[in-house]
Amino acid sequence: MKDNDILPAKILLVEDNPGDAELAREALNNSKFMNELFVVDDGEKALDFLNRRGRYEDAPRPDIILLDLNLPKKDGREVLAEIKADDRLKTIPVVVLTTSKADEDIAKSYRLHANCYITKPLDLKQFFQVVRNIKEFWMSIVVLPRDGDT
Amino acid sequence: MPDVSIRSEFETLKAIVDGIDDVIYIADPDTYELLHANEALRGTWGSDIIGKKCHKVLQDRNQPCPFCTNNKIFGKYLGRSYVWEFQNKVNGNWYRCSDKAIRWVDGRMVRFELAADITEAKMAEQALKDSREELESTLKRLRQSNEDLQQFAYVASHDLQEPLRMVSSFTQLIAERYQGKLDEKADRWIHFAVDGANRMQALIQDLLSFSRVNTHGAGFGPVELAQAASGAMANLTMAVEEAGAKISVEDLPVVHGDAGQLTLVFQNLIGNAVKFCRDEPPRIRISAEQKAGEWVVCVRDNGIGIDAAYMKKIFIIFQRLHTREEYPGTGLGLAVCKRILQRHKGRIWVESEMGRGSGFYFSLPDAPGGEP
Repeated sequence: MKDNDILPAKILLVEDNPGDAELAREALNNSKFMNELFVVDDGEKALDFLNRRGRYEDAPRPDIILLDLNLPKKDGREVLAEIKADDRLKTIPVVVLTTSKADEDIAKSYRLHANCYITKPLDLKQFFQVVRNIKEFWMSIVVLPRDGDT
Repeated sequence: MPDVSIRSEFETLKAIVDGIDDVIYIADPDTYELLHANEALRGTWGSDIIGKKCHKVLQDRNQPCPFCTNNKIFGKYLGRSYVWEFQNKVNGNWYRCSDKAIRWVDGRMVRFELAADITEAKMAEQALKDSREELESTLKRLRQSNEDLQQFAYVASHDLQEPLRMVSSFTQLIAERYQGKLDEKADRWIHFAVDGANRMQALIQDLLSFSRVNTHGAGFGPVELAQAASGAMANLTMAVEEAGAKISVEDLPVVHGDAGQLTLVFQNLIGNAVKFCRDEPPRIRISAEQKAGEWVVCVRDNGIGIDAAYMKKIFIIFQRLHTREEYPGTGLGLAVCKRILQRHKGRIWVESEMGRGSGFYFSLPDAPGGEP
């Protein structure tokens, strides 16, 4: 167990659909673990956030990234490739969370070293469950390297 | 009397040459003057043409024709006929011409042409070619529009899912959070909104699977129908248990097809048999029989049966015979089955009696058929 277990988990959600972002927020609010959710709505903002550029100068390093694939400007695949090519960022688990069930999206995401790929369930209850499962799995079951241990 | 006999031979030959329907003429290759023309030619182009230029009389040209065959018949084809077809621009008729260099009565070499009018045959040939081309282009357009439609159904249903997911999720969220906290009317309205969104989601899912039958089918291979049937039953476990249905499966053959799609056919047929039951628990029997060149599979139930008037209609997309309150569903299951069987070069039909159950039959060719 790590020290930051008692700190709220910092989650970066990259999602262009405000409805989906809202649903994720609701799902996490009802979860038993404390968390802080940051939402950005395109790929460029996601990379600015992670690299603390511009208006995201004071952004924290997230513990986990939930990444949609189809995004305006830079899409999720490009964001994923840049994160996994960056020595400082590549240790942050990236969960691809998308409506796409296309085989090529799944294969490409794993080739780009996505930590896992999840298709958004159509049903609300299942969606809530999936978001909570993601968080509980990555925040309390999995052991991750300490911040800066990279 | 030699005179008479010579004259008589001349008359005989003239009668023969003038009796021929085909055009015959002789022309000098250097001066292009017509030396002789038979009746068929004179009848068409005038009786005073002898001595005039062949290109002027026959083609209305002041210079020798660029397509003149003299260089051929006095060159490569010397001593034999050069046969070719062409359309005369003056009268529009098509001719098959046999041209040859022959020795004329005065000893010089001259151009001989025999030309048969083949306009009618050409027209018929052209008409046939036109209608074949038209058929081919219609077929091509039909294929294109079919592909477009399939693509449209796929894209429409796929893209409709996104906004609908929002409607459905948030109405569900409202129902969860605010049920009983507003007034009675609000509860009822929320219920209608949630129910409508759920139904639309089911419709879109079914429409997607309908449009995917042809566009997203897997390759064909050997399929154990017994395995397809048991796979279908596994997917229906909940419904089968809830209804207390008893399903018996007799010996089923191995056929050539798409295993996933044939499982879906069983799933839709068994699902229907379980759903459209009477008060007693459903009893369902799955069997197969080999007929000439095909297997016929039957899914028989003891359910409510189908009115003879609707036996064809039930395979039409979105066709339902009952209200959703009586029996839920989108009305797409059998349309999907029909489409899958079409892809397999098979058929699907029903035999039924009201109140005494139904037998759904589908046939599959027993030799590899359908898509490769």
